[in-house]
Amino acid sequence: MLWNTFEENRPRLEKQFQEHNWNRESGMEPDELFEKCLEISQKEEGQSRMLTKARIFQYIIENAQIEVNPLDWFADQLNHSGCTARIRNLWEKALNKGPMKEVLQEFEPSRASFACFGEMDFGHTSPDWTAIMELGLPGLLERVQKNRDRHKELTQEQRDFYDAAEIEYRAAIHFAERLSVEARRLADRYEKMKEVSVSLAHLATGAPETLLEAMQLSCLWYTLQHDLEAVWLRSLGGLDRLFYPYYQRDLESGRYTEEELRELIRYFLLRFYAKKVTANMPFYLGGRDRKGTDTLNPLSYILVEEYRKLNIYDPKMHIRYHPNIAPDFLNLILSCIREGKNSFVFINDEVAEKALVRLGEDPVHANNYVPVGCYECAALGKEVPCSVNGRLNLAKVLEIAMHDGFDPVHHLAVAPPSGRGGQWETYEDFYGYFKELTAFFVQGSMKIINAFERRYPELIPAPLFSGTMEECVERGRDAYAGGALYNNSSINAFAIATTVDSLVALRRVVYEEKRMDFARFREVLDSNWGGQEMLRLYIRNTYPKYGNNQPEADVIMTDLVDYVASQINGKPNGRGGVYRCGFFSIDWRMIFGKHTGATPDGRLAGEPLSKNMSAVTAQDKEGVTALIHSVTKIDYTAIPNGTVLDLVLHSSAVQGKEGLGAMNALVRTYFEQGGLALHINVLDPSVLKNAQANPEQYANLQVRLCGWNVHFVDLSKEEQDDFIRQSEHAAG
Amino acid sequence: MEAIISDIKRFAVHDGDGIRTTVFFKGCPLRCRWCHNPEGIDRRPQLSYIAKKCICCGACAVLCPNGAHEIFPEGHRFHRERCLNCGACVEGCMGQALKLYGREISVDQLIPRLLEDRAFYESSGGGVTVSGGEPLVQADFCRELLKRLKKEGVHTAVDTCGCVDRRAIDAVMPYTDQFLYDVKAIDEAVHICCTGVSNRRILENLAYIDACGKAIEIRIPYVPGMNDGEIAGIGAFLKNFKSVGCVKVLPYHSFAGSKYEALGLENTMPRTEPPDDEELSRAVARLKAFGLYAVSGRE
Repeated sequence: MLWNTFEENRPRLEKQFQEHNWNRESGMEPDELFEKCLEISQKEEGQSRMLTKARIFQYIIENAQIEVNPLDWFADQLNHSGCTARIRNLWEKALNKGPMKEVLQEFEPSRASFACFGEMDFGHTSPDWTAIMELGLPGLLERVQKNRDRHKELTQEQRDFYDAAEIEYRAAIHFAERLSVEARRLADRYEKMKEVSVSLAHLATGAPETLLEAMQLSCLWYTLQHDLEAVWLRSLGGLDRLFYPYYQRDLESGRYTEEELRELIRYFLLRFYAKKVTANMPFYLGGRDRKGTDTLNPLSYILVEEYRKLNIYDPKMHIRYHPNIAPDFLNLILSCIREGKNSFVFINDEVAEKALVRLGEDPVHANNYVPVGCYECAALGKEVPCSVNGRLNLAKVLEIAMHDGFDPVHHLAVAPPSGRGGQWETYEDFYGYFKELTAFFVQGSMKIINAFERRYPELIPAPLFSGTMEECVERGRDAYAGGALYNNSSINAFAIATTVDSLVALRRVVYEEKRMDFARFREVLDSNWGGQEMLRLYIRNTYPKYGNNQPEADVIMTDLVDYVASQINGKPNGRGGVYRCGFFSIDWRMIFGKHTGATPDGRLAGEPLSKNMSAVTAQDKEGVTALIHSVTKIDYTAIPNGTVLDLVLHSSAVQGKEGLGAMNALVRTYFEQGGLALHINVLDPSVLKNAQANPEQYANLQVRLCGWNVHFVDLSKEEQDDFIRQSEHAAG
Repeated sequence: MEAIISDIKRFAVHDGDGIRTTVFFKGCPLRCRWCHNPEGIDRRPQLSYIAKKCICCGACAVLCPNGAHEIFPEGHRFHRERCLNCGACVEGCMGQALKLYGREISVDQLIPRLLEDRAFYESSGGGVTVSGGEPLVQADFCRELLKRLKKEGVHTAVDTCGCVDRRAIDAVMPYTDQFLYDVKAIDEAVHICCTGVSNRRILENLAYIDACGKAIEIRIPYVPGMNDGEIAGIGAFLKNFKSVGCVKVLPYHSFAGSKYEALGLENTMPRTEPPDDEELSRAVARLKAFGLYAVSGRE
């Protein structure tokens, strides 16, 4: 069915989002387009932002240049140059200079000290993919219209919402039509374009009926929501359960052979790889249904097999784990990871669902969760989780607490002093003050997030995205104005292991072993361990550390996690929802580490902070089994916004059938003991060192950074060194 | 009762089935030229000193009762001849350059540590392995330990060179689920040349264990230039055994060189390259020809 093989097309497919071939006659140049959109925004200043946004959305679709790549099965390209996001940035700037100015100023010291951030989150979303596939664009439009008619009287807000949604869905359908026409134009020279054109025309008139159309709709949706509505898309949904009916129908009707469908899947996966989405584009596979039955199907395997053959690191896959997961599927994933193709995160269904239920969500909705972003689970079609609003650097909070409310790195008075002059008689006194400050920063962070959220209707109306969600459409309210069933926000605490090890060290040095008094120890840290290298090494080498199944450290860990979670979970946000507590650092640990002075655990000033739920690098001296014991002492049902354990295994430990069995047992035991999410790096220090020295020979070497995958050679020297240290530690 | 052990390794995946914890006992009757656990040869405690880790903090010089450590402006000087292997210096060593192999430990001290990873044994079909050195040199202790583990329902494996008194084997037999049994050569002269001792008792003991019907995994260290001519002989010898399951060919590697240096021992390891995959699979194929279930340790 092709004039070229996939492999022949591949190099050009991979570059198609960097080297464009726009049809210049099909629309405006991007600069002009932006000017025109800006005019709309300025002309309508003071009117409903909802409608302004919709008109900009429509204008772009009608006037931007398009491109259909005759080598691809899928078309979704529009030369929009990020108009919507750029205009929103202008709106945001005006807001920050105007109504948000005071609250921003009040928050500034906390932000400047890198103790906590509080931000808007227009990403970390998944639309209701089930509705999108079942209804198609025309069906979604029709649903909007029907719901409008159900209301006897409409408020202004409802009228604006329904109007805007209709405008955007009509425009979306027009987008499919434009691409269809363009594909037909190319069909004279490229036979395949006929089929592409027909599939797009179908999507303009109805729901998808074939796998090609279903995948095409995913691609279109990405452009519509992510690029044109500027609501960052963070999951393609459960592709196996979503696409399997189409796959099955195509096979049964004889429309396509299995090999042809596999090829479509290759094109589809490669397309998202080529898009180079920040932090990778996720989808999920498997999961248990309400009865606990495994939902894996033949397509689950095919998607992984084709990903494996492609040797790409993006899209990334969330594998929903539960005790009934098919053993051969689990082994297939572990085999991929072992080969270094590690775009996989495992998520524990039972714990993820319980965490959402504890937050007040219906068990049925919780069961149908979708992991958005890295490890944040949200009820599909029901929840706008905003999983990256607040960030809380616990190590910095500790530093500020030790300095009685003062940040010594940035010379800022940040928090209320304890009133004890910076000396605490007992460890418990100090720990109490540290907890007070933790609450102080959490509340500060919430205050600014709530203030931002009350402005969301002016900033981020999202009628297209909202139009997929049943409650939004019924209520006539935008998803960012509280229209979804669950309208939540989040704060993510991190540097947890650094902080716990520091508390252990502080207690021992000052209160138990009485090596020096509090003030003297503080001076030592202020001087970055000047002249106290022996003490630093003594602390690093001999004190108990989190991650070794040692009660002294682990007890502090569980207490601190519970405390932080209790300060965050369920607190009201600015959109009628609640806060979700997360514990992930992702790569923030680097930059926040640079702004955090020496910590009592022996860490030097500026060094990276601990990663996600992991122990401090190389401090999990008792090995992975002890690490898992420590990590699973935590109650993860109190961490609805997610966290992850990054497991580093040496390649020699996972060789052969035995190695696969060992990996399998690690995963199962981790989850049986209540772990939430897990990703695994299989590393060999000698390979990493070689790759650092000869990057050109290792262009394809993947590592899992935090919640996403990267090529090792693309990392900074500092990050590479960190991986080398971890892998050397794993080698024992 | 106490034993002298050199190390405990958790998450051991190459010492029997599943995820295991391996206890390394000190003391060995063999002197294999290629030994990669040289800290397990001598029964007595031994101080290991890794010079490149030393940060010259001087703590060892203060702690040593015998003046074995001296700190000079140009660095640390270790007088091994004055060292009594008491381990006093190790506690203070901030660079973790000093380590004492060989600590006395009781069954009561060992058991809780070995049971910590029980969940992993259960999910992987693993357990505890006693290894070394030669664990059966301390057979009475092993018996007590394995008995306690069996009482706890833990799978047990004994990794042995076989060069021990029959009574030692009888002592552990009732509490051992599997033997990991080294066979290094069939030709007695080759064996003496490689290990310093005759293999007569080793082969007799193997036949004895086989007759008792205990599960056995055979391990053949494959060292080019040393015992690579023995494969056919080993195959012929093993082919009639009933209890032998897997026969594993373990390719020689030279990673242990730095351990000899750290222990102040003469490095006896042969100067040879590890066998390539092709050579290894030839050896495996040879064993398979005898109807054995042979596998490469590199797989």
